[in-house]
Amino acid sequence: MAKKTHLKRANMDSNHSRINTEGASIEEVKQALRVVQQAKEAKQALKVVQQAKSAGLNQAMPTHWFRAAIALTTGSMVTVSAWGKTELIAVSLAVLAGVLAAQKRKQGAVLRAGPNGAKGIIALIGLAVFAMALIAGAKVLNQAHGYGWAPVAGGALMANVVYLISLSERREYAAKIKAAAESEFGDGSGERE
Amino acid sequence: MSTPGLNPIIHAPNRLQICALLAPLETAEFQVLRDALQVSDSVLSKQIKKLEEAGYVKLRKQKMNGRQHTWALLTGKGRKAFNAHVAALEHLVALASGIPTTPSS
Repeated sequence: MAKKTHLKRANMDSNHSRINTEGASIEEVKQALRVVQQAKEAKQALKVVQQAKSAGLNQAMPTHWFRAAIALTTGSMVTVSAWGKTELIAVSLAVLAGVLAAQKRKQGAVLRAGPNGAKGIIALIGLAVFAMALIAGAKVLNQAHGYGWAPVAGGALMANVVYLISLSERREYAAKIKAAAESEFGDGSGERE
Repeated sequence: MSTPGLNPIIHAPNRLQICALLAPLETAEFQVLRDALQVSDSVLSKQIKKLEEAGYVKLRKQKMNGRQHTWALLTGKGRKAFNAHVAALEHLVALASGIPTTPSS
């Protein structure tokens, strides 16, 4: 049988404030204290989760050389395609695979693959369409009008666009890491003694 | 803490860190996990084994430059369990904030 003693004006100290025990039974107060204790442990665990997530993202953050290498490889693919030297695309693809493997080995962590949500898929499709338009445009300029520089310019433009996209992606990740570090559970503000 | 909703396999501090570190990643190398957690190889192996037994983590061995490298990844089941565990932790925090309090003087 639960003891139902009503406390009149007792205030039980908790972390930052006092549990209002007015009109509550001892069992209810005990339960509330248990919840507060568990919440304190949960907050600590969530802080650990945020810190570990940040560490994981930090570890896998693409480096500058990697982003530049990806941009250059993509640009070269556009150039060789516009030139009509399709046999060189295999070389570009091999370089791309090599860059990805080197990045994986160097950093020891790989971010989750694939575009993030509908926005990412649309961006990827947009980029593919843009590359095809560049190849077609450069091909026409080169073959029909004799502008030999057009494939190189197309490739350079593609490389720049890819680099800028990777730069914004990097900023997004940096913001995520910062947000995790500054979140309610990440900055230790909830752990004041 | 044996609260309903909390996963006892994930809740251990080192295992929680392993899952959280792997959550935003496709895969991470054993050494990276060891350095991030600041534990010994044997301790990490033991913790990963428990997660592996539960089907939460998978290990892949790869030979690079003649050296064996071990990569760990969070499985679909592991990802689900980890997200549920984090949701349970957040629920606990929210529950405590619902307790009527009076400001301390």
